Formats: sequence, structure tokens, C-alpha cells
Amino acid sequence: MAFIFSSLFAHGVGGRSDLPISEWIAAWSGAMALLLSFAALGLLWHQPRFPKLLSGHLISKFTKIGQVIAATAQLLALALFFVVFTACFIGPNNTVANIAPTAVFIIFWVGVAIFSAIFGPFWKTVSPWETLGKLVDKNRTAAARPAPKWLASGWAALIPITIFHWLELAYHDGSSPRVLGWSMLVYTASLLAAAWRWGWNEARKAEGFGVLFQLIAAISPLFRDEKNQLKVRFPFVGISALKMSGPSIAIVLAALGGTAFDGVSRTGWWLDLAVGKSGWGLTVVNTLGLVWVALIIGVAYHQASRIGSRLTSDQNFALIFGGSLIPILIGYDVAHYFSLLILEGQAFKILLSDPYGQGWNIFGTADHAINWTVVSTTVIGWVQIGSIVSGHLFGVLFAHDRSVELWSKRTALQSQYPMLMVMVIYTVMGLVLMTG
Amino acid sequence: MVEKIKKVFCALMVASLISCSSSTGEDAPSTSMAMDHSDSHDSHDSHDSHDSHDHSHEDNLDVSQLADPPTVSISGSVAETGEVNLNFSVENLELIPINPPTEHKPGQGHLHLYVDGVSVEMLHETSYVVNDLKKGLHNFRVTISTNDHREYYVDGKAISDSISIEIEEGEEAPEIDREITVEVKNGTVVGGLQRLSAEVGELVSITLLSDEDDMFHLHVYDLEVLLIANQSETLQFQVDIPGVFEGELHEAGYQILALEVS
Repeated sequence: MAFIFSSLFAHGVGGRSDLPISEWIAAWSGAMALLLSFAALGLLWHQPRFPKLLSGHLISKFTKIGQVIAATAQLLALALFFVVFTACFIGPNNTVANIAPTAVFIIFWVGVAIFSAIFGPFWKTVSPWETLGKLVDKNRTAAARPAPKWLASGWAALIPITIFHWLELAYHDGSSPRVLGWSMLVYTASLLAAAWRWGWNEARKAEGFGVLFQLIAAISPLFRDEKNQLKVRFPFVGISALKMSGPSIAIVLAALGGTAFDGVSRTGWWLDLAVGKSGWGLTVVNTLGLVWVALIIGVAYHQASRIGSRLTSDQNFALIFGGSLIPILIGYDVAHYFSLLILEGQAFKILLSDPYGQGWNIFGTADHAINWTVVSTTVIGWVQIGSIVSGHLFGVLFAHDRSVELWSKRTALQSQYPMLMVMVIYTVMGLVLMTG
Repeated sequence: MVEKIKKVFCALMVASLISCSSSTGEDAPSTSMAMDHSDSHDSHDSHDSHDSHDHSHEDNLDVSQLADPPTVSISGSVAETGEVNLNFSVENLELIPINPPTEHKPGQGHLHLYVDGVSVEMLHETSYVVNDLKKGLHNFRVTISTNDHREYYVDGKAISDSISIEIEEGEEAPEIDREITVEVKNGTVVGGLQRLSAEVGELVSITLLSDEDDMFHLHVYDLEVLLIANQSETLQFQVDIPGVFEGELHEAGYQILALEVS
């Protein structure tokens, strides 16, 4: 018997979670992370190493061919953006049958983040908002006005990230294609209006996704130097070249908080709490949960920074070590969404053949089915553990490297206690969430 | 050159952006057409009974206000070879093939067939043969659906008919490895969210009972069970995909079951 029409009714991207990892594996991983952290503290090195590794090795000079590839990728991304946007309204009003929820929540949000960590700042080249914003810049008739403080400071980037998380994780109808379509329209229109008034160089600061992906891209082994040449270096060292600001730390913390709440909302404890709730009742509970988890994440970092500032008498403690949050974030991202990208993400290829639900089969993939066993649950489990622990490890290593660069051995060691504490909290939380 | 292509492309995009957002406005008239159509029938419908069930949910279309709402009935017999021949008779509805997909039109639609509560086929023919049934009593239910796959409802209930047929020949039903009963009452799950753990390859049995009509959906496995108020349905299947899966009620809109397959 073929269950052919069933998926038409489904809503909510997902509906599948990874198997909980066993508690003893989680406990051992946590202990391992702790041990590695302490080893990194004093034993490993006393001279900063990350900055020396920054320069990297040349791969390609990025001349003509690079430009052609970049222009093609830009057009493709713009075309895809356009298809997804129009499909929000024209395509079937159903989360699974419409391409938009898969494209937005899996390919864009998870895919671009993870690919940025691997391939570097490619999003800045292909982002449709970047392309459109620059176009507005070129066609502006009057000169751009000086940007207001809320935009120029970079805090505006927190708005789209916050709203996106709310739609994804709290609002009960957030994965409806129509809701996504209107959100995309409002967001794009606001960005372009800001670009028209204040210029894209300022408006870009409100494009929260671009800001976040750019930060994540710093851990990639691939990067472009100031001469636009493609280079390779040791992964993760790029964070030491990042200038973290208040808003950029807030964005990373917000993304971390969202991912953590996604984990919380899949635990048995939360499911029991939310059972029987639907509609706005569910939205309220989810919103409270989201705020609560994000606050725990944020307050933990804030408190650690305060203690750190006191110990080192350096007011910029939070900014100095902000970069260590990025490996932690990408560790969380991979742990929570690796299987989503590989399994549910396959729907993108299927839906791309018939983006408007018209019975088309453009690429011949419309009748493919998702292969749910393409990665085994064992592999998924180890990837989860591995990404959380290595995210933690690289966060600690970076913080260590930073501290020996800035301070004497004694102060450097002291500065690491609060940082280590906050990172252990994040890691233990991440591991606990994966035990279900 | 590249710049030019980009400009043309963007102009195109803006144009379709505008046309597209205006086309969403057209959705509304097309649904209100259904109402117009019903009004043109000189109907003596009772509005109060209709209002009480008029939840604007997307999974069904209540046509209580029609003078001649569509009806469906099912009959069937067991052939000597063990298969079940089903026949449907439909009134006040034109049956339309599901492919290519078409917009909703009042008075058109297709049939949804459920065997033992599980959706198996969408039909625009009035007969169907079910093969490979195990020994025992089986239930066959037919509902009618709009072209865009919403069930037609009258007075808050799906328009449907069902029969039960006993299969005497055939394979013995295999043994169930894991089973669970999930009961939904007064808008929540009795005893909290229900959990069922099984291992890949096992045969599980899920019995569902709700005090309201609803549609149960098990994600990823994509099994759907039409629930009639206070009538239990049992879903049996072999679990072959590992993971934790949500089983939810569509009308009620919340999860009632977590199936963990390891």
C-alpha cells in the first residue's frame, strides 16, 4: 500500500528528533571536555599562537575566473531567493509541500551557517540582500544621509535574529509559507528602504543573518585576504582577527540561546509541559521558554565577564573573549541540526523540481523520496558529541591564546577561570539536552 | 555585462514581487465563491448549527449550508482470491483526477480511502481493489475531499461511510512487538504525552481514541489515521526508520505521541 497523500497535511518542519544519547556517554564527554580545558589552561603554551597562524597559505589569486564564479553564484542565489519568495504565496499553503519552509529553516538558516564555518565568508558574496542593497546604492539619486545611532551601532542586527527565532521556535504558525512570505517581504523592503536612505554600507549592519554568518565564517580554514586572494589556514584561528563588539556578541548569544531552546523544546520534560497546548497558548509557552533559555545563556556570559573584568581589571573582558562563543555556537548548531540538514534537507532537492506545486519535474527529482537512513543514528550520535566537545575545546583554546597574548602568566591564568566556567556551563547544558 | 543581467533580473523581480503580492489577494475571492455558489441554491440552511462548527481550519471544508451536500457510500465483497473489491457511490460531487493538481472548485473533488484507519489511496474512480490483507476483521472508510485535499464536512463531521469485512483466508496476522493506547479527552492526552519505544524491524500497534473527530499524523512515517469521535482506531506497522517521531492531531494541533525507534 502506498501512502501517497499523507505528507500533504503535515505541518512543522521536522517532526523527527535525534535519538537521545546515553547519559554515561554524555557524562564522559563532559568530563573529557573539562580535562582538556584544564590541560589547555596551563600546560600547552605560554606564547600566543593563533595570531601567527593568521596569514595562511595562498590557494588562488581570484582573478577573472573567481569573478565569473562569484557573479554566477550571486545570480543563482538571487534567482533562488525569488523562487522561494514567490512560492510562499503561489505554492501550496502547507509546510511540507511548499519549498519555502525547507529552504528558509533548513537550507538557509542551518545550511548557510554550517557551510560558512566550513567554506568561509561566501554568504557575503552571494547574499541576495547584499546584491539588492548594492543595486539600491548604485541607483540612489540623492546622497546617503548619515545613519542614526541605532543603525550605525550595529544593534539593529539583533532585530531580525530575534524575530526569526520567535517565528521558528515560538510562534505556532511560523512555518506557514504565507507567514514566511510576508516576513521576507517586510524584511527585504525594510533593508532596501534603509539602504536607499542611509546607504547599503550602513543598512548592511541591520542584516542580522549576514552579520552572524560573517562571524561564523571566521572559524573556517578558508578566507580571503585584503587583496581578495583565496587562502587557507588552520581552522578556528581566524577568530583571533575578529573585532567583537557588543552587538556581535549579543547576536552570537541570541543564536546560541535559540539553538539551546530548540534542544530544550525536544526534551521529555518540555514535551510534558507543553502537551495539549496549541495555537496562541502554545505560542505564549514557547515564547516564555525561549526568553528564559536565552536569558540563562546571556546572563551566564555577562556574569563571567563581570568577574573576569574584576580579576584582570580590564573593562573589555567581554569583548576580548567574545570570539570564544563562536566555536561553541557552531558546535551547538552542528549537534542540533546536522541530521536535519542531511535528512529533512533532502526535501529541498525534491521540492526544487516543483517549487510552485504545479506537478512540474524540472530537474527530474520531484518523485524522489527522502532517504531517512543515509546516516546511521550511531554516526549522528558521535557527530553530536564530537561537535559539542570540540566547539568547547576550540573556545577554550582561543580564550587561552588571547589571555597569554594580553597578560602576564598569572593574570592570564586568573582570567581563564570565569571563561572556563561559562564554557563548561554551555557544554554541560548542550550535552544534557542531547540526553533527551 | 554581468551588471546588465543583474539589473534586468532585479527589475523582473520587483515586477513579479508586486504582481505576486497582489495575487495573494485573489485567494480570498476564490474561497468566497464557494459561499456564493451555495447561496445561489435556494437553501433553507440553519445558520446557527453551521456557525458552531465553523472553525476556519485548513484541513476541512464545512458545506453544511448547501441544500444538497455531497454524499458517499461504500460497499464491498471478498473475492475468492482473498482480495476485497470496494465500490463507492457518490452523489452531488464530480470526481476529478488528483493529477495534475487543481484549485478547489465547489462540487468537485475526489475520494480518500482508509483501510483500518490508515489512508491508502486517493481515488477518482468508484471502485478499488485492496490486496494482501491479513486474516481478521478489516475496516474500510471512504471520505470525500476537495481538489486541494480538504475533507468535506457537514455539521462538523467528515462526510464518510465505512464497512467492516472479515477476511477468513489469508496469512495469520503477525505478532505485535510493542503496543500503546493513546486516549485524547477534553482537549488533552490522558496521562500526559504518550511514549512508545521500539527497535528497528519491530511491529508496533498504536490504538487511538479521541472524543472529537480528528486526523492523527505520525511524522516521517507519514501515517494518517482518520479519527471518528469515541471510536477507536488501531494502526499497525513495522518500524524501519530510527529516530524520535512526533504523532500529532491535526485539528487539535498538538502532539500526543512520541515514537522512539532505536
